[in-house]
Amino acid sequence: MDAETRKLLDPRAIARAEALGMNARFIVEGYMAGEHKSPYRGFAIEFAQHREYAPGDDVRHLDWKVQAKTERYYIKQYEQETNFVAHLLLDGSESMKYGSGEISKLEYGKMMAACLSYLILHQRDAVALGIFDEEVREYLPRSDNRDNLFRIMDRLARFDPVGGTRIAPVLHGMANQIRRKGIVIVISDFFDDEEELLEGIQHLRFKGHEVIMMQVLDPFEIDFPFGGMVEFEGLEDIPLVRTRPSQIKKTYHHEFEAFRDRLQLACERHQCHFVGLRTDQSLDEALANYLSFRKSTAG
Amino acid sequence: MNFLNQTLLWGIAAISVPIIIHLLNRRRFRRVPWAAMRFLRVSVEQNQRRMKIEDWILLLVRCGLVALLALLMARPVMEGVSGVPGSKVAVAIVMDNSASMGSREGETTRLALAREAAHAVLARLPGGSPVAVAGAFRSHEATNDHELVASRIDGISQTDRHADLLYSLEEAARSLGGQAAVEKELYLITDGHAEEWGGFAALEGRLREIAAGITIHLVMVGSPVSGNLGISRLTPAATLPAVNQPFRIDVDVTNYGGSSVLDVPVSLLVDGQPAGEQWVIDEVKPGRSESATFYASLPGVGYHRVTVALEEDNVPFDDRRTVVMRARENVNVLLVDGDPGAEDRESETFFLRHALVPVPAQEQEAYPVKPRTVSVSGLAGEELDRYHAIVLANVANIPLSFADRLARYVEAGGGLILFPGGNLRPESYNTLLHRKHKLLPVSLVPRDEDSAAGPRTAVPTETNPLGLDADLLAGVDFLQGVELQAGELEHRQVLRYDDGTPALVESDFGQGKVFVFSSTADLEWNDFAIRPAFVPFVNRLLGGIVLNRENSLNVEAGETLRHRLDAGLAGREATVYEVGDPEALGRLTTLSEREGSSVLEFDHTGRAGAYQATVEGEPIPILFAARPSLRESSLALLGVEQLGRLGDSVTVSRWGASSGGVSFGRDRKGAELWWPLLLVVIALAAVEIVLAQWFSRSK
Repeated sequence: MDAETRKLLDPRAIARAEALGMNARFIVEGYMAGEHKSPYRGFAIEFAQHREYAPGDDVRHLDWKVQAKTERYYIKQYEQETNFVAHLLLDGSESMKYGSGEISKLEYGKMMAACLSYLILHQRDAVALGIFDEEVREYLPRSDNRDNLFRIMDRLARFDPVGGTRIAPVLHGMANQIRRKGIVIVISDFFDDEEELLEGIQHLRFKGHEVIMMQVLDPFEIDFPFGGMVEFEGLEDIPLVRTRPSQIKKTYHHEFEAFRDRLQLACERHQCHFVGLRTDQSLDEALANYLSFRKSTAG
Repeated sequence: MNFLNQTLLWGIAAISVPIIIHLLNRRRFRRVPWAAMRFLRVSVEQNQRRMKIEDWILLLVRCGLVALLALLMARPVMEGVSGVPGSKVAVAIVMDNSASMGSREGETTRLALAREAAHAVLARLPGGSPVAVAGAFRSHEATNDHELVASRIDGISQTDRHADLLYSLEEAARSLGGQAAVEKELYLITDGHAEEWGGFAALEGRLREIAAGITIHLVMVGSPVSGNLGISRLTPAATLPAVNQPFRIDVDVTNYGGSSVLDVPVSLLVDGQPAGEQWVIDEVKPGRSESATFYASLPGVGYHRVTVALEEDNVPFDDRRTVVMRARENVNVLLVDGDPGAEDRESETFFLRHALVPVPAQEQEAYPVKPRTVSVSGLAGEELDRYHAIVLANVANIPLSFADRLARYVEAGGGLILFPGGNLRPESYNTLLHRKHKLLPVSLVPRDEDSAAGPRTAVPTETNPLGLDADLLAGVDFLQGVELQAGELEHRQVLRYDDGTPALVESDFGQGKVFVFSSTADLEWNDFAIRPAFVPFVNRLLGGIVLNRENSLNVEAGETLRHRLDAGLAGREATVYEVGDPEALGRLTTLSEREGSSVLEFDHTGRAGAYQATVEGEPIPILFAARPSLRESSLALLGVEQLGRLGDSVTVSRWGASSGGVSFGRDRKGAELWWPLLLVVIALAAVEIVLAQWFSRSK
């Protein structure tokens, strides 16, 4: 049993992955139940090749015509045709660990990634997953096999952040690596150098990818509701800042909103979608909003 | 600038408190992990300078607030400034309410003028100034409630006591010493009665010392009075007051004025009712006393008021004087005869019986003294408690059981008179009555023969508690006697022989009294029994015993009454009223227990006259009387020279019906700055609140 398998069979990892998968399934199917349309529409199934029958194969897939001609048993193999490949890139930097409530930004991002994976795989589309901080830490190549879902969940569940954020090199790297045009969904707080980030996005767009930027923020980061004397401890080796938050609240709001506005503006300029998410927002609602938006824009 | 509470200036050190709190607050923070640090740092950098400035401003305001508060508590005073609101003056007003202050001033009295002056002082004081009011004998705590002060001024009542102004001044100075104020003022309102300034040099010296830190105002009230007649003596000449037994009352009337007074009527009242005719003294010369003599009798058993009154003059307190007397129906005396003899005349108690009942046989039945003679062997059947006195005359030995009974009897209030004689065995007395029971204050020692060679005479001692006439005793020869040897027990000599040895001693034992004579009651050792002095001697011995418990009923005004009563009354409450003053409120007192008896104690005897004490559960009230102080009768006031000397250290002013316009406190200087400082503190506190709110708002 190799190490990877052992990891997969780690009961705790399994439990975590199953929990994540169950959540994702629950959320997505909840959404689809309201859609009244098959998630499978538009997807074709094409014949791929023959293979000699082996015991245990489903006899329904036997090609009787070939058997009649050759008196040998062959099994028909098919290949699903996918509409698109979605590259999910989840920011796994330490800044994503922040969470004022029960759930951190990273956990929210993981849930979002899991949900999207589930959804996309059930549409017979392909999903590739990358988790990055300053570089790509985990990567699962694209696959349209729904059995891959468990591996995605497992990787997501097992990931623990250790480093700072540098999104731009990751985006550049992905732009260079991905040959087939697809959708690149970046889930992050985007607390990084704005200019470099936009260059990375620009690169992806240049390669013809559709880019969706999902910004996950904690409500405390937006509202900044602190009082008294507080010592803020940076999550990515940034020196401590000791201050009275009430004294700087307005300035903080101003700076923060300006950052988000700039990000949104840049997304509009580069024709990529910007999705703002709050960790106190229910995930199914966030997903529904986004998918509705996509459907409407797709016509 | 000066400070009234300089110690509180140390409070300025409290400015360290806001600094410490500031520093502690800087250390007391909540640690929060945070992701969006770049926005935070930008925000902090933009606001850092402003926040520091705001912190410094707030810190300075808070330190200033604490420092000003400390200054405020230290009560700064600015010299030479006046008219600042809130500048308080600590004041003590001492109102002389001694007997002389009751002197009439036209339609009013000196005390009423003193009240007016005190109210005038009060009216000129800045609001909230602490004022302590004192009479000559009682002081009140300082208060800044001027309505209460006014009522206390009105509540200072006239007394018939002699005042010790030095004591009052010391009390007032002590009261002011504990006050913190810009100025301290002491107002002594008095008539300047010279007797109250008797120790003038001492009083002047003390005033000078007090004036070093306190402004003293001597406010003189009243004008000189030209004449005063007063009763200077009232002595009932009754050794054993009994019902309907006439007794003599000796009265002295003294003229304290400067001119003779003619035709002075003197009245006697028994229980408030006129008794007999007025006695008119033809003339009382200035500075002289004249006597008047009355005869009266007490109408029934119990307490009676005997009052002598003159026509009221401008100094009324000494125009009337009362004593309380208690009449008894019978005075029972047990004579224990140690040598009855063959005939009545040979009896040891023969002369005693006759001396105790010095009236013809037909009057003996009505005479209150009822002697009964028994021998030693007959003592066992006698109930001792029914006798007011027991006389042991030449009794050889004291039976053991009788010694115990005798001690208990005397302790409970009985009286014992001991006459020795040839039969007496001193050892029996010394062992049982002197050493064991300590009933006899002296031990009896047989006199050696050599020293008994010649007759001796006896004379009263200086105190002469029985009031015996030395001339009456002059011719009495004392041939023999036992020596009364003093030990550790307390006693007083009443008579002594010409060789200095004691002839008669008295002592108190519990509630009772003991007399020990060194010679016989018959003619065996002396010829006293056949001398005229023997009858008053014996009666006064008996009177000394019987009146022992009543003597305490007549006190001088201001003295504390301490009157012994039955032990069973201890713990009960008694209500005491001034007799003849229907508006006087009764005062409650509780009878205490002391030395086997209960004691009625009462110290509100400021007014002369009779008082009535009703003990809870007792049907018959007890009367007692207070006499006015004779020292207050003199008319002499402080002279011009004395007032001039006092004027060096105190401000002397005169307040009277015609000169009521004295404006007190006109020359007050200096102002306390607490009021403006308080406003600054309040303003600064408001600024601090506003700034704290303003600075802490979201920015």
